[in-house]
Amino acid sequence: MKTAYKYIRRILPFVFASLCLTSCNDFLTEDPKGQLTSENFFSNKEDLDASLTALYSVIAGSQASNNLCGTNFLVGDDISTHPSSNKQPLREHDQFDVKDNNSWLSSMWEQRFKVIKAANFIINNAGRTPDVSDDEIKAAIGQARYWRAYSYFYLVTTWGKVPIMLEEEINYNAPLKTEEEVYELIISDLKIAETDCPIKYTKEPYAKNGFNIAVSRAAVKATMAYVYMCMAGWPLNKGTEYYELAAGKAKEVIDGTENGTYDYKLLDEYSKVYSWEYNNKNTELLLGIYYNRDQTNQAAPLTDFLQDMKQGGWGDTNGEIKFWKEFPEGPRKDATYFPKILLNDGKLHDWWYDTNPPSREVVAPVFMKTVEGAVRGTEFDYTNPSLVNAAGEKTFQLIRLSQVYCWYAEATGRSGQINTKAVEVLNKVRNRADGEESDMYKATMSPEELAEAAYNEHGWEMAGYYWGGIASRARDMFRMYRYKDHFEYRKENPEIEVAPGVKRKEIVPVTGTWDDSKMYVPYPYEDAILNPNLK
Amino acid sequence: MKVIRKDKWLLSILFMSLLPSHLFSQAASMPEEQPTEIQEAQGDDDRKIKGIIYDEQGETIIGASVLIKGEETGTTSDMDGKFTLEAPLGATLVISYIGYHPQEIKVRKRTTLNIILKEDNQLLDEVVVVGYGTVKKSDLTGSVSGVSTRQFKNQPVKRVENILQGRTPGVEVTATSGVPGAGMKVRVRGTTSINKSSDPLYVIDGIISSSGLDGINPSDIQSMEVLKDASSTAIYGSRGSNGVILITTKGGTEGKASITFDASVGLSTVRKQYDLLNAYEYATALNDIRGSSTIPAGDLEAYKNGTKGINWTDLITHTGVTQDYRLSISGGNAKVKYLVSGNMLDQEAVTIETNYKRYGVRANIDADVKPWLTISAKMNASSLHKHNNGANWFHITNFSPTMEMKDAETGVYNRDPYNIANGSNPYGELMVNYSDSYSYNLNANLTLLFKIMKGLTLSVQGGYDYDHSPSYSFKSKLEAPGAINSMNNTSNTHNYWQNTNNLTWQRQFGDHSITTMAVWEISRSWDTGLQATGSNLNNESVGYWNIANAAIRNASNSYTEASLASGIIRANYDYKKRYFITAALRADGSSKFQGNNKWGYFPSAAVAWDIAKEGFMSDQHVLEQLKLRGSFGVTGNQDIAAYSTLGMLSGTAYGWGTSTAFTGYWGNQFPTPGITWEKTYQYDLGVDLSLGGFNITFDWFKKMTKDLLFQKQVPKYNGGGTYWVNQGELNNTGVEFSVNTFPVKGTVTWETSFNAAYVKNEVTDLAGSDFVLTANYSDLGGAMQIMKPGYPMGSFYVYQWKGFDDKGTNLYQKADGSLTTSPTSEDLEVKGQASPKWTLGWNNTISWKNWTVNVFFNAATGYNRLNISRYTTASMTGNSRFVTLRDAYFKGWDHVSNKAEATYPSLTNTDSKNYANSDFWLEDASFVKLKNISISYRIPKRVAKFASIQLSVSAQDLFTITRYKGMDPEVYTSYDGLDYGAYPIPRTITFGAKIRF
Repeated sequence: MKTAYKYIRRILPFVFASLCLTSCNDFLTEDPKGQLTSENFFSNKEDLDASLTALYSVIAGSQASNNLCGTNFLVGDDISTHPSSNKQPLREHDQFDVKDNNSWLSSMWEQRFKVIKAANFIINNAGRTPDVSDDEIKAAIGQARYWRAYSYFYLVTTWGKVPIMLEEEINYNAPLKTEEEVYELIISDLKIAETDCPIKYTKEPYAKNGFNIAVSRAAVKATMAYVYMCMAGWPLNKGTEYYELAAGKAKEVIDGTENGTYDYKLLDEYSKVYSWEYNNKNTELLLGIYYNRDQTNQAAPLTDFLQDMKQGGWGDTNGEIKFWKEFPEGPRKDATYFPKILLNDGKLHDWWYDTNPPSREVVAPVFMKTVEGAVRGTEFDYTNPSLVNAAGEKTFQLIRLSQVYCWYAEATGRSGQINTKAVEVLNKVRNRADGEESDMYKATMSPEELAEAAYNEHGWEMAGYYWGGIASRARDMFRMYRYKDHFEYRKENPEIEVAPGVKRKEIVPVTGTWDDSKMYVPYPYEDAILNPNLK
Repeated sequence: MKVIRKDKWLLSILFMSLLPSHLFSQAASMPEEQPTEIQEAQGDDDRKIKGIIYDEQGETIIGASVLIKGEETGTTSDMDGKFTLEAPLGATLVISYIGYHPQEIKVRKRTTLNIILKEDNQLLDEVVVVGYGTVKKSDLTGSVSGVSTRQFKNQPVKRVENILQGRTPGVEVTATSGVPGAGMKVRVRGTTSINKSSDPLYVIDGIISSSGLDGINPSDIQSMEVLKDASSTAIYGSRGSNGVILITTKGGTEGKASITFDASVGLSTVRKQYDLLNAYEYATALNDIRGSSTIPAGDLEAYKNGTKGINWTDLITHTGVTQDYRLSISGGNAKVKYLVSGNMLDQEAVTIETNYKRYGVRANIDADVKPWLTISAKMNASSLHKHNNGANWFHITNFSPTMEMKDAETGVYNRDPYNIANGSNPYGELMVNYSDSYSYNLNANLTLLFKIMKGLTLSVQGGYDYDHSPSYSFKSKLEAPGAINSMNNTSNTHNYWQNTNNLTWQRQFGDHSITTMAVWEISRSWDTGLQATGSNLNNESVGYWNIANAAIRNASNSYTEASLASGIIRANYDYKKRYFITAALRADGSSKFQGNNKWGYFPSAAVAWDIAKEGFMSDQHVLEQLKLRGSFGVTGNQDIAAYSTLGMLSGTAYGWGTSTAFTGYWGNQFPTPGITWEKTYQYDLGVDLSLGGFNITFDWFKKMTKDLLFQKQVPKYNGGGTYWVNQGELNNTGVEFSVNTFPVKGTVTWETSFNAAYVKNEVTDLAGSDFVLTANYSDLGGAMQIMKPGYPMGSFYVYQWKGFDDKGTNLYQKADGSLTTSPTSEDLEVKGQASPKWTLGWNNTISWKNWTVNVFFNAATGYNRLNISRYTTASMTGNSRFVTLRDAYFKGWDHVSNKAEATYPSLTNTDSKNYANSDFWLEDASFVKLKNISISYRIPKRVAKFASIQLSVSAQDLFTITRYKGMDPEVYTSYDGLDYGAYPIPRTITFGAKIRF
């Protein structure tokens, strides 16, 4: 036994060394090196900037491709899609028959709420940032409130009643709020954004080359004008009072551009509006989403023209024939649609070209707004057969000055009035579209005529731009309750003479009976199973 | 003795009647075993005896002991198996060697002996490695399956997981990809966790393997034990609930040095391919469906006469060559034993431009340095290199055969103009892009075993695992029109250390034996990551080695750390080797949980009764063992990522429209400080039966996982994603059966082992949710799978396809039974499952003289694969704008004249909806695979003189019997059982030579 003790003495130090190496609690405490917590964030100006970068990053991601945003605007009378191929998620919107299992619907829904979540993070926490001026905090929260309102606006015009999420907590029983309540939130957020967002940003990345990149005061006012127009229309039908509010906000923007408060002015030619050349110096852009292929790219260029075109389109969307037919000729139409299409035979054709017997699956006009040149940083040329890239970096133009002009004219007219300013700005839009000073709109028009003229001009300005997110042609039709007429028209689907002796009609069939549930899309079933309020 | 043999034969016959009869006919004619005896006249004095000792294959045995019974004198056989000994006439020689039956020989007149030792196939005395100790197999109370070298030495195994596949009941091994070096899925007794890893815990020579098995040379493995029931796994507490696989590497053996060199060359090819439209057919189909001007007439002619057109499969597949070389040197004396080994593997994929290389060395040393101290040091170093990630099978089978490969002027590879909307040219990306990933791994493990006093030992073990995994990639702008070139350097390190201190006391008091053990263990792992990426390189010739050449550069890094502290106590008791009882408790503290949630306690107990050892059984000789076992225990799972309960801010990068990355942070994660251990309660009942040469094991088990670490779905209106909760329950119930026997023994020896396992997995609660949808593919129809109480994990969630209407539109069944062309989410049904209900393995080794044949089948049944690969080739959906499968066009509604013969829907009908989540694409994936067939011939040393040489030729995955329409029913790409361009396991023919000096 003596030797045994000797051994134990020898060994004990090993045992104790390992037992006492560290105290257990320290040993098992997590020290997340390099990571940030909610609690220790918003500690300085840089954190505040980083929270805004995250918000704008989420926004850029939320609209980067058409499966995330904008497919619901295919109900509009300006745009249709492919009759077969892989276009089922787009086609259901075009056919006014969206199912809760539409495979793109859930991301369209989710992305809006992601933006709301990123905005809430700033709205609820940024206030505590020390050593930063009040104005800087207000500007950050103002921008966050703007994007929250922007997202709810998309939601309320697409789904109607939706849950209102203002806290950073999970709620499986969130109730649906009425359209009235959602609009109330939107307006209260926008009112704060209106006073707190700067008129002009000076520092990068919020400004670049003298252009505002982040949300500016004029952009908020313009948004308010359009939101009021929507509240005046379907489904709240608040009427004249809200059209007056809308006209008022639009007027504030217009006055600001004229008295030098804001720097915005129309580009002199419509062809520059969506051009590559003016992509980073578009003077009429009040609000955009900015992309760059080195960091965050968007996926627009390849998708918006036909599959049988030489440049290799995806055939996601194409123009509707009646809208094309009624679209006034001129530089605006030439820049909106492909003037000619280059088919696989290597030849340029009119869009209505087909053989006899027919050999083309989709015969329709084609929009040319999102395309970029095959070589990075070059203008698209519809006569160049090179395949274009799927990844792009053109700015998504959410609000342009020409739209504000149209809204002012329409809101004025719909509130039963007419004035020279309204006619003047509408003529500015049309004159540029025509490429000549025709001044075709006169102060002698009735308010109703003015409103309809402005409604149409806005539609032509925005034709096919369904990615824009805020005021597409479809959303104009929505607030004016004009889906139903278009539904009936598409069901009828008459042939239209598109060139002497050439008749064409829509290829995607629309069937069924109208009811107002078609004004909205269903809640995605993925969420309806988690929250019975969404059933 | 004869009586026993007869019984043995009766049983063999019973068992063999289940097997193919022609195999059995040989067995019946087998001659009886002859006891060795020296039949010579007697003499009177000490005689000089000379002899040579052989094994049954005629190989000489080195180092066998030859003793005179009752005396201390003796000798050992030399390099050539020879010995010389002086022994008196009439004395008895005892010849013994580890792993062989000892033999006794009376010394008579003859002085030259040829002795053949028979291999000891009685496995009951084998020592089995269990958690923190070893026991004799006959004393086991838990459910443990072992695999030893003997069982896989005839199959050219390239990786450790292959050893387990089909050889142990209750272990399901699935190769998820056929790319060399790709991952394997191993499940012990089913899937026990929903969102966290269900991979078993690997323990190599007592140290937790924290960096996987990739660096292990299969030849270095002595044995593998799979711990299945809770009484065996609970000793690993928090990490034991998915089963534990213990790997013991070979050590040196006493005696003269032995050198083994093993070389093999394998040729691999793709076994089965899709029947796709050729260029001309595809062009015709395009013109038919997309409009007759799609492919101009001139091109059509060129596709017809073969001057144009691309066969992507022919272009990208080839015969992959595998070279495998292994060298092992071992030896030692009574005090010090050593083994040194090295291996080199170079494996080419069956698609071009992809290969996998492994180099490794191992040194194992055991030494008795003092009477009271034994040390054991083991070290393994390996280097892995994977060049490229294998071709993209989804693109190979979906890219249009009618296109120009690349722009003749610029050399830029083209995209697919007709079918794949967004994806790189599968040939082009292999030609101009490249990536290399490496892993440099070092495992070192030192054990000091102190013999403190009789029966009391302390082992102090320290292990360290270091893994450096750099990877590099380059993407060329030639990949696609308008592509931006880029490069990436990533360097990750993984460090792990473990200290285990084990105090064991073992005593025998008459018929009572007691073993008690106390263990204190701590471990920590930490990982670092560093990444630098660049794009817009000015000059592509610099590849991935000059980031300064890139105009845009981004960098990121990361650090995570996790620690575990544990205390274990265990006691084993048995009475007369008849009654056994084991009880253990482990306490684990994990850094991943917060506050009071850190500690988890994992008790277990087992009892066993060997009826064959009872007094009333002593008169029979048929039953050598009849042991009933029962156990219960609790194991845990803590395998969430470090820091995941803290709700850290998420980082983002955004350029604000510029090429500069600005960093952003936002609160996308929800903190979950209340999260704690997931627990699995397991019951096991088992029988071990050793009956006239048959070793049979049967087990029934039930595993109930509670407080699941469950990623609960966050509503999308809350921003989507998931968060951790401890809710939900999951059950696995199953049976396992294995039998091992020698139906034929003698000149011809046939060893066969068969095993089968059934497991029923059932989700019983999902944190209150009625169901959770998974495997979401927004572009293919939504969720492909569902978790729902009452159904197994990996259940598919599909529309019921019901043929076509009179316009070739797909018809689906609505929930109310009526048919529709436009189903909604209400019409989805739960159907099929991704994991097999039954897995079976049947291994046969037949030897005759110097010949050995091995035939090994592996089968799985009762499961499905969702064949998205076929869906995309046959449907216009998601990224596919057209079809490539021959039948989708030629047997499609539009093409067939008799519409009743149409098997695929119309491609022109606007109303026809395509969903990948439809039972049209859900296929029975049951299979029987001939995993290995080999024949080898051994040239004995006495013939070859300098060494013994074994030559072999074998085939792996020679054929598969299945109804699955895809390339391989086993592999899948994502989630659980979704074949979305999965890389098939190739057929390989291997030629090998093994030389032993």
